[in-house]
Amino acid sequence: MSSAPRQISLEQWAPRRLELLRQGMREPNYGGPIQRHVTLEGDLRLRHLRYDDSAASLRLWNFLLSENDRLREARQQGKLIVGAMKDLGTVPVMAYTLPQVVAFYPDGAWWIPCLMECGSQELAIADRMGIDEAFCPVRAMLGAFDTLSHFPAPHLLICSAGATCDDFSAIAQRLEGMGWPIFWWEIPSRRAPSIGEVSVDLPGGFRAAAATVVWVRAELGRVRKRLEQLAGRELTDEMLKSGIAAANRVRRLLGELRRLVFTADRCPLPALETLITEMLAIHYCSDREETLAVLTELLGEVRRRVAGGTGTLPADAVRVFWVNPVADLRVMNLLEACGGRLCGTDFMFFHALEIIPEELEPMEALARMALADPMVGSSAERAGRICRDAVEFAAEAVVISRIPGASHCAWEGAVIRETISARLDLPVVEIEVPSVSDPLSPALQTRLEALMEAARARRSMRSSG
Amino acid sequence: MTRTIAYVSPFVPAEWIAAHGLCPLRLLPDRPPAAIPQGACPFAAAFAGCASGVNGFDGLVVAPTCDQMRRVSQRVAEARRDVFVMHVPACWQSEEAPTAYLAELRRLGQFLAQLGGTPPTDAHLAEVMRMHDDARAAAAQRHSARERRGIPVALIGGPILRADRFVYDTIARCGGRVVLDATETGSRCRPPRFHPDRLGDAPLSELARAYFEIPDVFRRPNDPLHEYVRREMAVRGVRGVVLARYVWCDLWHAEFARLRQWIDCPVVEIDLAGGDRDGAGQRVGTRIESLLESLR
Repeated sequence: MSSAPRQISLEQWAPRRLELLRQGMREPNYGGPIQRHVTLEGDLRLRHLRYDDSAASLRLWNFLLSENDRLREARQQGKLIVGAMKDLGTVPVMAYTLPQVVAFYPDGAWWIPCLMECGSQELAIADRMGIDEAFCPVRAMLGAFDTLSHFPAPHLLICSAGATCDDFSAIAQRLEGMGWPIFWWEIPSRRAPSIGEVSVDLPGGFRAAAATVVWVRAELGRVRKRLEQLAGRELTDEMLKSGIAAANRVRRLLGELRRLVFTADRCPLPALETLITEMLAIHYCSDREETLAVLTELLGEVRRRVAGGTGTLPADAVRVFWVNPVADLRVMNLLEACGGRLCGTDFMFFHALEIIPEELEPMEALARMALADPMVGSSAERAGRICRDAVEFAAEAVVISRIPGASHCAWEGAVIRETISARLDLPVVEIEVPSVSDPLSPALQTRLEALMEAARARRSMRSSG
Repeated sequence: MTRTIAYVSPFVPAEWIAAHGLCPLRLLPDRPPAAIPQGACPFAAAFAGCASGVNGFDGLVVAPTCDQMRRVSQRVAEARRDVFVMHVPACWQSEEAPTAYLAELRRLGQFLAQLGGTPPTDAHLAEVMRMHDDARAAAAQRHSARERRGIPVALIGGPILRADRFVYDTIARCGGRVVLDATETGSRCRPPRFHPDRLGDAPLSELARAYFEIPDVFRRPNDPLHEYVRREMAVRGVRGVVLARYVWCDLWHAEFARLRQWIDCPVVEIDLAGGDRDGAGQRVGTRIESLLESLR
């Protein structure tokens, strides 16, 4: 008999998992108690999070937290490990078309300080290398490469450069300086066509000058050749089409999941699980097929909850659009503790959520997809897209989450805030979330609660008049 | 009356603007406004301030090579119609990169024509390029012929605001002499001399080739920057190094650690804030003094 969904602590997961097993839950080979990730890997933050208590969420968490094991096993089995860096969604689509290749994002190391509550040595290593707190938490990636105690050594690193954030670019260059060769490829700024230039429609509603699409296509052509060299075989257009189709299967599942989560009267999936689920779109957590299975199960759970009008949050939770990923996962719980729910997200990679056009020649499709990256164009364009989605998901408030040290955060917040105020007249708050936000929690809570109050006041005014 | 086109970045060839019959003006912002966003680079903030108003120029060309300048440039371009933002490739090793830069110069040419410039013939462009090339060479010769007193020092970093030019005076006051100005307004960012043969054949391609070779921190990989600094330090007999960056400049901040790994003379880092904010002047002065004292 299924009970009403609830959010539980790590301690409560042990009996809950046993209950689910008694109810017939079958776990994949990476399943097990979440607690083990605390003891085996030092992921201390897990002790302080609150979790959705479904079998689907348990599978999601175990899938996420077992990625490094999967990568190590893949390497031992002779698979070729590609570290895709910065582009967030394009290179893995190409890499996974090669059967012996597994791709992952070393950028994900930015959550190591959070998960290990700054108790690991990665940040200290970065400090010793001169990459201090003035940089974004992705600096932990340097420490991760130094120790190789998280992910195994990749066979190839592929990194986009150009219209990218400075701290990642600087950190990646530093990584190369440590002796890790990097294959660099250019992602130029997305710009409007000049007079006389041909314009190209990109997924997600942006437009770009055709010349930039041609440029990116040539750059991805170099990436393709490099992958072929690594794999020792040709990467054909047919293979790419197949890879794009597979990526789109993931994106469609995720799109439906997001739509349900953001539009249901009662939120069917908490913010933290929603954030993690979206991350799967970038690189499939190093297992594309299993990503499909995880998403399918989650979608099934969400559909059941929507049909039954159930969820873990109050029905009157304030609908919040969230901009930028959080360095501390716990803040997603805090949003809900303050009375909010996620109704729309821009975690800096919504191009990885868009369907890749399958009617186009594959390299053209991938080039357009890469240029649709919200971080590659102007903050104003990004703000426009946020507004569009905020309307679609009926958001009542917006949170702009600054990443400490991130170069884009210095300027984009004001642009996004001004645009939302002018077009939608929604309350907006900007907060900064460090890797471990506990000391700032009271201040963050105050700001989020004030936002919820403003949103509720607007809601009352609208319903009364 | 000749129209003036302001530009920011060494990757905007002044010759190209001049060859269109327009007057190029290198924009050197003075200082940032009193209040700047948290995490904002003072240079980018200063540029945003001076580019946003009506400023005595007829057009503005920006070639941002960092994320902060890119975002500020986009914002400025969205606010005024006479702004051209060009993308300078970071990845320089591919065959496409110099071609892409050349294409950006052609696109810039179209913008200049829209502002009243006249597309130059190859011959006129070549002539303008020779004039600028000769002027740069003459200026370099005058600089090297100047009085040679002072401890030879390298100043390495990005752009320097007008309000921070006191760094040069401070170095001189403390007994130093900048023999290698590897900042964005120094010799590092001057293009190499043009090949006379190529000036005749394809001057725009030669212009693109020369400017594209400017070594800079944003390039990926940026080994040419290190090769340039290593070579020039040896040639000029540098005995001490001042690494100058703006607060919140990630690119130079990260690079200084790498430079320190191989530079085998005393090095001091200074972070600039756009004038004497928060006691920056004294802080910078003290650090430069200590460097030069150690070299006496």
